[in-house]
Amino acid sequence: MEQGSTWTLSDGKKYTVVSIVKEKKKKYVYLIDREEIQNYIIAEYNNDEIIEVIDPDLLEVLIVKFNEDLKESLPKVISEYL
Amino acid sequence: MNLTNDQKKEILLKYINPEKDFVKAEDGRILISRDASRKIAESFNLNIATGGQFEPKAICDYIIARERQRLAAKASIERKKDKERQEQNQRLSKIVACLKQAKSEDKSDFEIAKSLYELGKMPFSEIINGVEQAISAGVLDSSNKVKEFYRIFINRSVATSRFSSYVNSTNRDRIIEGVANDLINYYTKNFLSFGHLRYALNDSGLDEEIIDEVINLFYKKYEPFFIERFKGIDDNQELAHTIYQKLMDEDVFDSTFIIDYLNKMKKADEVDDIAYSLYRLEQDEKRVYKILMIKDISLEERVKKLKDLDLHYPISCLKRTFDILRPAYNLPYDEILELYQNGSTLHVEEPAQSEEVIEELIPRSPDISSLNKDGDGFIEPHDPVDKETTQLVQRRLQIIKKEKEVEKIEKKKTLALLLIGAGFIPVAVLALIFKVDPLTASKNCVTALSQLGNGSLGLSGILPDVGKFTALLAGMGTSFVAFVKYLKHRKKINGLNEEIEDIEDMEQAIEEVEEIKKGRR
Repeated sequence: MEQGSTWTLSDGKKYTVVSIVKEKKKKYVYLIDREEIQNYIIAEYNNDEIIEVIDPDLLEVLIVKFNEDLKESLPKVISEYL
Repeated sequence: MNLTNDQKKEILLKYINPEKDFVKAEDGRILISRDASRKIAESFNLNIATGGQFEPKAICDYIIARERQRLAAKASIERKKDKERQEQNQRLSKIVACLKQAKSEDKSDFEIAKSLYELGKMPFSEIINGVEQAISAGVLDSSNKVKEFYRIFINRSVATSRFSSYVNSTNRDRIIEGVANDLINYYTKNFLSFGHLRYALNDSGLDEEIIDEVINLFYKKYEPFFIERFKGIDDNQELAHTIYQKLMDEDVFDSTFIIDYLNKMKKADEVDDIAYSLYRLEQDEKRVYKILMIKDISLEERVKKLKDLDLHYPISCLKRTFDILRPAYNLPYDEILELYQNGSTLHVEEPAQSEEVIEELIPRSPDISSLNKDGDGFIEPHDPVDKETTQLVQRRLQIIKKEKEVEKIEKKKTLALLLIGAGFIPVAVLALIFKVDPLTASKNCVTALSQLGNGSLGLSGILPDVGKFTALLAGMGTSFVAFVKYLKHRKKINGLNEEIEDIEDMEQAIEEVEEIKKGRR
């Protein structure tokens, strides 16, 4: 799983991986629905399994981490595209 | 500039000989002799009446003043030269430092050239000098392509500014004609490859629709060059290989375009013949890419997989493919090539995972196996050709073209989604009651919005509701509402409500906007 790749989840919808971060040795992903952009998922990624994060404290930590990751990776993604 | 008396004396002695050039006039005054006066006038380009004589004090002051000026100018030129030398040395050190740094970071030649370009405007000769020095010092390998790639960056910036100069023109037809003419000029003179010219066009700020029309016009204008360029090659296989190598790797000249041109210079059956070869080469290229993209396999395994493809690809095409990938993916291309050409045929156990990857990556194509008369997996010139075959192959080429287009659109869409996704996060951060600096956090959002809004990435129309800046803002509003709801749902806490009061006001406002939008629909 890498940033920009597309995954089909069990709901049958296709999601694009926006960001991937690590927190306490676990991998978390931020996915966005390719067709309905308001539909996104923040989830733990483990052995090809996606487990949606529901713990509010963890969400707080993850959102900040995703922000940091995107701040760094976004210019690279854009320059690769260009 | 001050001169000592001795210096003044030395200067004056160049023009006046005190023993014979001072003469007494009839009125008793001491003057410079006529002959010396004439010579002085010539030296300083002065007007003097025939037989005229200079007064010693005046002409000596004049000569000293002029000499002082000349020396001052000389000193200033020397200072300027010194400064230039100093700046040149500084630039050279900068270049060499950049090369050392890039090499220590194991950057590719392309990336090294990019780093040099990013140092700022520098004379090309100095870059060459810096690279040569780096080669002598063993920092760079002598076979590197840094100079070549640097030239590409420079030429790209020249082309970009040239194309940009049309942006403010109001006459659309003139823009298209002008840019297409420049394009053909740059391309046919090997100023830049078509791929890089496309980058320059995209960077120019020209409207995407205009760029499309420019390309179409370019195709029309390029036709005579194409015919001229390839008309001497009689052998069709050779022609196919040459065309493929020269044009297909430019990424713009797809099969359909080439076949259109070929139809104007060859008989129909010959065109089919060449089309088959081009198709096979294209397929080969795809397979080679897939093999090179497989991660975590040994050099020998990779070479074996390449050999197993039983390529129709000539080695020159393989080299070219490697060169295209070289800047982007770090692989031991030279070793692969060496082993591919000369190595023994190794037997390697195939790891199951790698096979899966290959299966997954093999491109899908329409089934035309019934046309493959000799069962070797390809429709070839020696397979009997009929009208149906020709049509199917042409359709297949069309499908390949379509697939490429879809691939490009999907790539654009992914980028748009990443930018939008990045835009959501700061909103979420704000919703988390400013626990991080909202200004910093909003930077991603602003980047995403401006990149999408100014159309510089050519993403307009890829996602229906984010094509334009205003539409994107509405989209962001919707996402904001959704995200706050998401958090509230997840948190299920009451304490947060008070803190997000302001945000809820915004939420309310956005919902109203949404209602209005729905009403309009």
